[in-house]
Amino acid sequence: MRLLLVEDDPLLGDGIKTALQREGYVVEWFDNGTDAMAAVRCEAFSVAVLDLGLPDVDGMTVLRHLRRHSDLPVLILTARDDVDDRIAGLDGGADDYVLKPFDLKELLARLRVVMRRAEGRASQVLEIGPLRIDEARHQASWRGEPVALARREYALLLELARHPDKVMTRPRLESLLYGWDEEVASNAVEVHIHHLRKKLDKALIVTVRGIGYRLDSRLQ
Amino acid sequence: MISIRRYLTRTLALVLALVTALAITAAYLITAHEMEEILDAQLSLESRVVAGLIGPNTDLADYRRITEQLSQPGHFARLYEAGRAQPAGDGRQALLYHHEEHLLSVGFWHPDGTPQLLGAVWNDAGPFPAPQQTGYDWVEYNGARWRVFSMFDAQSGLWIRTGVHEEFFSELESKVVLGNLIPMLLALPVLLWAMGVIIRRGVRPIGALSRQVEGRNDRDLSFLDVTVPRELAGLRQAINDFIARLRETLERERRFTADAAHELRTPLAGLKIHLDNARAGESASLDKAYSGVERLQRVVEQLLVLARIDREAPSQEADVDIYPLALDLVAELWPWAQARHQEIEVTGLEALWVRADPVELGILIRNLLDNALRYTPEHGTVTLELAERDGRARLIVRDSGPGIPEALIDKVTERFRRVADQRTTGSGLGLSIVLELTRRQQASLTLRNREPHGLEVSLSWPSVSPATARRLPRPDTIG
Repeated sequence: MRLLLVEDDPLLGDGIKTALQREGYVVEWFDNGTDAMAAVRCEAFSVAVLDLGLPDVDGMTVLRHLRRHSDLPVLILTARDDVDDRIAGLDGGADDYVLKPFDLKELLARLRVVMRRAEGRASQVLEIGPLRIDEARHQASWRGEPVALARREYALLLELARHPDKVMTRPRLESLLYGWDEEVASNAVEVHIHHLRKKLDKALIVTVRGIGYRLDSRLQ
Repeated sequence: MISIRRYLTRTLALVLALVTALAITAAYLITAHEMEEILDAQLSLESRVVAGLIGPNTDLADYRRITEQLSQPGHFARLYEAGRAQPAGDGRQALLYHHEEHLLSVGFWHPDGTPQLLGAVWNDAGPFPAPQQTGYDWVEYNGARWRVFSMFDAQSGLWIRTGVHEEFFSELESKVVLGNLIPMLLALPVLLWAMGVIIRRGVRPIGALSRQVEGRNDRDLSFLDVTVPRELAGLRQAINDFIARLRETLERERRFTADAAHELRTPLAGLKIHLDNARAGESASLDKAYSGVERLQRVVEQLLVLARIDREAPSQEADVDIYPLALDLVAELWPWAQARHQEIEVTGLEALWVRADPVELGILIRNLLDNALRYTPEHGTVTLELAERDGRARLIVRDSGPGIPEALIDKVTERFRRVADQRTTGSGLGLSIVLELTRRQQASLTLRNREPHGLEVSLSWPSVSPATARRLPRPDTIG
C-alpha cells in the first residue's frame, strides 16, 4: 500500500515513515504542501496522512486539492485540539483525524479504518471465497490454514484482494509496492505472483496477458 | 464614591437656597431704605404744613384746640407752660381714627428747649426730648426709637418736630420680607422636585451605558452600541477602543496557545513514535528520540523566556557596553560551535555603549547567536560585528546558513514560524523573542539575506552613548 505522508516536521515525519514502512506501507514523504499536491496528480496512492500545519500552504488547501483530484482516503494529523479546527478538517473532506501526540497503534488502526471505509467494507477482515486476510494482524489464511507470506507478497496479495476481479496493471502494482527511491527488478511483480500462486492456489490470481493481474473471487 | 446625581441635587439646592436668602435680604434692605426716604419726606412735609398753620398770632386758645384735636383715648396731648404740663381737657374730642395713629406724633418747643405742645404719646413718659438742630434723627424715648424731623419756625418762634415710631418701620419691612418669603417657600419644594426629575433624566444615559458594560459576561467582547449624548460619546469610544485592544490581545493569546500546543505536541508525537520504533527494534530511533527530547526542552525553555518577558515590567535601562557582554556569550556558546566545527568571529568596535536593559540585551544577543549557529552548517562561520553608522549603534550577526526565502523574510519573526525544508531543531520562537526584546529596548531589527547564502540580522539603537568607542585593529577570531 502506497501512502502519501505530508508532514513538515523532520523528526515526526521520519518517525512516521519508519513506523509505517515496518507495517508494510510504501511511504512517500513530503515536507511541504506544494510538492504533495503535485505528486497526488500523477502518482497512485492508497491513503494519505496530512498534517494541517504546513509552512508553505495551509493544510486545508492541500486537503481540498486532494479531494478535487482523487478519492484518496485522507487522515489528518493535527496539534490543535480546537473542536472547530477538527470540524473544519472533517467537513473539508478528511476521513478521520488523529490528535498529536498519538499512539502508533491508534494511527495504524485509523489508517486501516479509513482505507476499509473507502472500499465500502465494515470489517477489518477481508474474505474472498477461501481466502481470508486479517489486516490488523497482517495474517493471510487459505481454507482456514494460516499461510506464511513475505512482506512484499502480503502487500501484493492485499492490493489484489482489495480490488477483487479488477485488473491491476503491472506498473500500478509496482508503484503501490515500491517507493521512488527503491530499485525495482523488471520481473519483481511476476516473481511475487509466482510465490503467491505456489503458497495459495494456482487459479486464485489470473494473468491478463499484456495488461496485468486480477484476483478471481469466484474460486471455491 | 461620589454620585453625580446626589452632587448635582445637593449643590443646586444649596445654590437655590442661598440665592433665595440673598434675594430676600436685598429686598429687605432696599425696602427699608426706600421706606425711610418716603417716611422722611412725609415727616418734613407734615412739619411744613404744621408750620404753615401756626404763626405769631396763634393764641393760647388755638393751641388748646390743637391739643384737643391731637388727643387720643388714654393718651392726651398736652399744652405746657413754663415747662410744666397743663392739666388735660375732658377728653371729649379724644378719638382714634386708626389704631396705628399712636405710632405718629408731633410737638412744639420754645427755642430754650421747653415744650409748648406735645402730641398724644409723647407725654407718656414725661416730655419728648427737645430738638437741637434742624433735620432728621433717631431719638430714644420710652424704651423705643422714633424717627423724627425737626425744624424751627421763625414766624411763631417755635421748634416743630414730627415723628414716626420704629415699629411703623419694622412692621412695613417684615411685611415686605414675608411677602417675598412666603411665595419663595411655597415654590421651593416644587423647584427641588423639578430639579430632581431633570437631574435623574439627565444622568439616565450614564446608567444605560454602565448597565451595558455591567451586564455582559467576560467572553462578550462586542462593542457598546447604546446611543449616548455627546458628553458620553468620548467615554463610549474609549471603552470601545479598549474592547478592541482587549480583543486583539485575547486573539493573540489564543493564537499563541494554539501555536504553543502545536510546537509542544509535534516533537512529543515525534518522540513517541521514535520510541515506538525503537521498541520495535529500529536501532537509529533512540538517537532520534533523544533529539526530540532536546527539541522539546528547547521549546519549553524558550516558552518560559517568552512568558517571562511578556509578563515583566518595563525594562530597567542603563548604559551598557555591548562588547564584553557579547564576548561572554560567544565564549559560552563556543564549545557548542566547536563541536560542530563552526567558527564565531567578533569584529568591529571594542566598545559600544547603548541604553538598554543588560539582562534582556543578553537574552537578545544569545538568541541571535544561537539562531545563527543553529542554521549554519558544519564548518560554517558566524560573525558578530559591532559598528557605529549614521549615528546609530549597530550589532550585526551574519551566518552562512541557507538564509530565509524572500517571501518569508517578513514572516519569520512571527511566533513559531520556522523556515520550510530545514532540518534543524529550532523551536520557532527564537526570532519572536528577539523581536519582542528589540521592541522593549527601543531598538530596530532588520533581516537580510546574504550572497551567495546566509542571513544577516542587524540590530540598531537610535543613538550611541557618548562613551568612547575604539575601532579594533583586526578581527578577533574565536573557534
